[in-house]
Amino acid sequence: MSADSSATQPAFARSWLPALVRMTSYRLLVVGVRLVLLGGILVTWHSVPESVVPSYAVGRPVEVASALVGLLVSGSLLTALLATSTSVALGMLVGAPAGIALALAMSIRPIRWLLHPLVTIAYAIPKVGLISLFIMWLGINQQSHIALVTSFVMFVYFYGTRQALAEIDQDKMAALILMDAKPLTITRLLLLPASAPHLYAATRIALPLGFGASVFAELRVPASKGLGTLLSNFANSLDGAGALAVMIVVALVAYSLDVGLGARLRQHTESIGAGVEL
Amino acid sequence: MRRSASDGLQWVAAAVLFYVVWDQLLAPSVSRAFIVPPWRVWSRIEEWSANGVLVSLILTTLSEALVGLAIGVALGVLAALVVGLSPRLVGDVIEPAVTAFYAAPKFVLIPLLFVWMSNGFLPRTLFVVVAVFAVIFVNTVTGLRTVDPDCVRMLQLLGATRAQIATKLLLPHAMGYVVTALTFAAPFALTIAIGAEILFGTRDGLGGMLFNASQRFDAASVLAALLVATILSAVLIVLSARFGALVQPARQSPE
Repeated sequence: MSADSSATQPAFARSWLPALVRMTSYRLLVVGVRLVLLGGILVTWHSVPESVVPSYAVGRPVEVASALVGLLVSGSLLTALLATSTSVALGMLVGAPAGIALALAMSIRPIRWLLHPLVTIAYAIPKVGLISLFIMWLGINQQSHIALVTSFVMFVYFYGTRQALAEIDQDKMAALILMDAKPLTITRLLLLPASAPHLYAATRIALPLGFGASVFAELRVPASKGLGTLLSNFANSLDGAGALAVMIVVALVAYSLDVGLGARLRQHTESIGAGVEL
Repeated sequence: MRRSASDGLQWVAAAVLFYVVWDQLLAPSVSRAFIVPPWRVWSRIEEWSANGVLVSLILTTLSEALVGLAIGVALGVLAALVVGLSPRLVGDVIEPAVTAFYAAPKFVLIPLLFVWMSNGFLPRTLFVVVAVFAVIFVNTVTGLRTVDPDCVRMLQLLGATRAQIATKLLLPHAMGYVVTALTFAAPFALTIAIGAEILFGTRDGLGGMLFNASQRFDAASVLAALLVATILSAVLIVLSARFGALVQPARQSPE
């Protein structure tokens, strides 16, 4: 490129075009390396001897692929996704209002004084253990799945609402009270808009958490037709390829939840102390 | 944390409330299989401590959790350092796989692990290692990658070598994230260990007791195991918080 041509190019083209080219070729490089890596892994996996990695534990790539296709075509994948989604949705439908209501109740001082130790202890309960309780109370069915999702999700919304209430602008609150606003008006004008971002953040954390809880519950209690049940069935019949296919689906669902909610899960370190991830 | 008189009163009042609700309202009205009165749970715990079952349960679960935690943290930090200090390409290539692995519920690996290695301390501890590794790895890599690039450039202008930038800037910055991760890693490891015991269908450990007792509809044992697990978890939470405060007393946000 002679000095002439760069002199005749408009200034902005000179600045962003090389950068664009660099960016694109970097992205292509990243994708290329990923493909090569994936290919290498698949080839190694395919040629590993039976003694090291038996195929009843994990099928060979071709088997896993055909199992995946089989699941898609036969519709059992869709059924499983729907069943797990139902558990998660119902669990959140019960857990979110419960957590929010509890947090609102705890804004009243005497209630907070009384319940604070109980809530702290309840937070410490290893919630995966609760499934054993729910099996006894609710039986070997989808209700225990929903109950487990509820227990995980409830705390997320509880702490989120607590934080939202703590960060309410006290000046605005005082102004509304001085103007003799009714509680409903205060809620509508101040509390709800102020807590919306916190509730959204809570949902970002609660949804993947609830999904994990539902899968765990289904693995323990293979009752509904969910993904965990599917996995459990494949594993019990020593169908390694099918099991791995379901695991891949679960990972994909979790990944799309993470990306879709924009919830870079590593932000969990700065989160609202919502408890254990699965 | 100094306990004032009113703090103590608060806990006593809450305990009394809980006990009264449990003993008077719930236990008598619901059938034996659902909820048992507190004294049954207490006598179950006494029984366990008498014949050594309690110690064995706690030791099994705790050792799975702590051994898994130690190995997982070591491997996680190591792997994160390798990835974080390498050229940016390495991190970018593996990022979707790592995110998918981190986001996915790890418990789906257990059927595979069970078929591969059957039941036992080793597969369960291995599972805890994997779970802890995921958490620590992602947090540490985030720590390494969120360093302020202006700081890096400033050090480069001052003539620092890559090694100096790493030790003086990147590592201390990342350690903030590691400590934050550690404060919830211990209770997390305990929960993972209990969950693994439940899914492996073992008889050992607190999770095993939970699994076994729920199969037999033995509510007293389930509640007793849950109580012990909660106390253990609470102890770990408090210890982790103390550890976090000790290592980073003036905790500014990891910026």
